[in-house]
Parts: sequence; C-alpha cells; structure tokens
Amino acid sequence: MTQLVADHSELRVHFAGTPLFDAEELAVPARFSHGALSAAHAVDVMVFSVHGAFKVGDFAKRILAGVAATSSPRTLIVGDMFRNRPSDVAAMAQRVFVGASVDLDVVTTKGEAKNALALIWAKLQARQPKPEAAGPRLADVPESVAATADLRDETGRLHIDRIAVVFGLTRAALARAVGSTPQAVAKTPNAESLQPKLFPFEEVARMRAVTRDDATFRKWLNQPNSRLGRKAPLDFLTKGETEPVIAMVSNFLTGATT
Amino acid sequence: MLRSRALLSALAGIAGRPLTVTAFRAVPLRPFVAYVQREGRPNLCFMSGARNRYNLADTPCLYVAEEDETARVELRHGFNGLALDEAIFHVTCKLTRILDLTDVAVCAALRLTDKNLFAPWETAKRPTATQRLGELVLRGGRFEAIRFPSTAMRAVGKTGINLVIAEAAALDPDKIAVKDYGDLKA
Repeated sequence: MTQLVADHSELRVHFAGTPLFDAEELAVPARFSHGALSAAHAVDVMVFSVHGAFKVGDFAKRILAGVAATSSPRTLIVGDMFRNRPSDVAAMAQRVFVGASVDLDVVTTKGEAKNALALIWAKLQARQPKPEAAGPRLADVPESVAATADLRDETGRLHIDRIAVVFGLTRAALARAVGSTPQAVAKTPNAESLQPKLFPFEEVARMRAVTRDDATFRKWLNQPNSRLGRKAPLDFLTKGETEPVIAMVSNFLTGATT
Repeated sequence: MLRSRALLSALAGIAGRPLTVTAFRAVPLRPFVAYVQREGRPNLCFMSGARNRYNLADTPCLYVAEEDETARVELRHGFNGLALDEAIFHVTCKLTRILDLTDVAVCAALRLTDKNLFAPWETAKRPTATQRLGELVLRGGRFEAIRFPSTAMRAVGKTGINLVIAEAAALDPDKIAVKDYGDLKA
C-alpha cells in the first residue's frame, strides 16, 4: 500500500485517467502522474473524472481499485458538468465511499478541480510539522481555516450569501462592497471572478476562531474601534478598504504587539 | 523624522546595545489549544508577516512585550469587549545589538518624536515614520531588534515596552528561545 507522503513541498496528484490539465496550470507546485499505480507511487490526491453518462457500478470499481492502491486519504472526483448533475456525482460518490476512510471532494469543472487541488495543498502545508525555527502563521493553521470553512460552498468557492450572513450584510450591500452589482452576484453568487474580492472577508472572518459566536463577531465589526480612528471595522470593509482590518486581525491572531 | 538617506546616516552613528530579557507573547487561547492538540508541540516563534507598527507587509519579524501585563493589554488593544482568554509564552531573548527607542538620545538622533512613535499605522495611507525606520532596521542587518514603547499601554494610562525582532535573530535559537507555554489562563 502506498502511504501518504510526508514531504508536501509539491502536491503529488495521480489521475486515474488522462490528466485533465498540466501541472503547470496549478497555482501550487505539483507533480502529476497517471495510469496504473504501483507500490512505488507516493500520491497525495487521486483524481477520477467522469466523462459522459456513468454507471455507478463501473465507476465504483475504478475508484475502489484506485483507493486500494494508494490509501490516500484525499480523493478528488471530477464530474462532467455537461452530462451529469453535480448532485448525481455527489450522491454516487457518497454511495461508493460509504464507510471508507477517504476525504472526498466533488467538483464539476476543471477550474474547480484546480482550486480544490490548491486548497488541498494549502491544507497539507498547514499540517506539515515545521522545523523549530520557521514557524507557521497562526492564521494559517487548521483551526483558522476551519473558522471560515462555512463561507465556502460545496465547490470550495467562497459564496457571497454565506459571507453576507456572517458579516450581517445584505447580499446587495456586500456586492457593492466588492465592486459588483446585486444583479451580477444574484446570477452567480460564487463566481470565480468574485473570489479575489471575497478573500479579504475570509481573512477577517478567521477571527471567528476566537469569538464564541457570530453575534460577538458582528458586534466587534460594528463597534467604533480606537485603532481605526473611531470608525467601525465594517465601515472599512464596506468601502473596500480591507487591508487595515486584515492587518489588525492577523496581528491579533498571532499575538503581535503593536 | 529624517528622510531615508539621512536616516541611514543617523542609524550608522548609533551603537546598538545588548539586551537579555525574558519577554512575553500573548495569543488567543482557543485556536492555540486546538492547534496544540492537533500538532503536538507547535513552533511558538511564528511570524505573521502582516503589516504592523515597525514593518510593512511581508517583512517577517517577531513582536513581543517585555512585561506580562503589556502582552495581555496589547492583545486586547482594539479588541476590547471580547471575552478573551489567552496563552502566554515566555520568550528568552539574548540580543547583542538592539536599537533602543526608549532612549531619548537615540530618538533625538533619529529626530523621532512621541507623535511619530505613537502614530496610528493601521489607517495610514503611506508608510509611517516607524514603518520606514523599521524596514531599514529589520532588513539592514546592523541591529537585531528595535525596543519601543507600547501604544496599547499608553492608551490605558500605563507604560510598557515592546520588542520587534528581525527575522534572522528570531530564527537563531541562540538569540531567541521559547521554553514553555507559560500560563494558560482559562
């Protein structure tokens, strides 16, 4: 059985079929392999793609063979969005993997697959034991990641509605804050183009690792803050001035004096 | 505050002094405990790289307080009202060349005023005087750390001292060591 590799300086991805894209297209360092697995293979993630209509039994056989070969706890499934509904792929995956010790991501496009792989790499980095000298950022550790996990939808993307609820904003107000329009975000509330604009809100929401409930988090967001010229953090966020609040929260989580 | 070139000249004329002290670092308890439970023994010398009083973004450096109370007050500065428990780390610092901004002669040489030292950096549109100074010092290699007065303590009518330690010194176990977690106040 191949074990999960200890060194995650690059993400080792194995495609059960033909690779869907090149490793260079990922935003993180990665090495791709494909075809039959041998015991010598060390992989972090296995990718199975569904092309066309699938038969649950056939697909399950392929997946289980791959899982048996690798024992990788992370397995990514890519569904063909043009023929199969994501919910169908998810339902099939749940049936196949019931009781199995795999960590499952179901995505439906190449873009989502790339994002999911980048996210897996980031999580593996956070899990890596660090040498004594070079420490991780507290804001990067799994607890901080978990504090914002609910801001992402099943595709792994940040979802504007979920963020709006946590920050106590209407969808329209948040849309304006990120330079979009209510109409545009209503159409695709997790649009890829929105992601960079929503990242700052995710950074600020890492503070939820400390606050015991979202009401407390929102109270802090809405209170005038002496470090922000007596303005509320939310005032900055809704004007698109996110950096001062991110810097404050990041220093807070890491215990940096000021 | 001097302009950068004059600032470099002034810094060249200031002798760094040694400092051996047990400093303190306070972090929010909840994520820290969860982190310890998951990771075993974590590295306690993590550096955020976030913009702060003496550094711009992506300049790794370690901020600590010289007093336990200062560390606790600093943690709550701007986060008043949060029901917050903290973990306190004891940080042993054995530094040979620090720039001491609590020394009036040093501040005079750099033409640093109290207004410069305590100016808000969070909302500044351009690098503040302390950030300009910090970038030169922390990246310059001549000094290992800057010793400076705590704005958070000043805000509550007290006096406290902080240290910002350059990455190279912070990563040197002969200079900086975190021996234990200190008190876990729940």
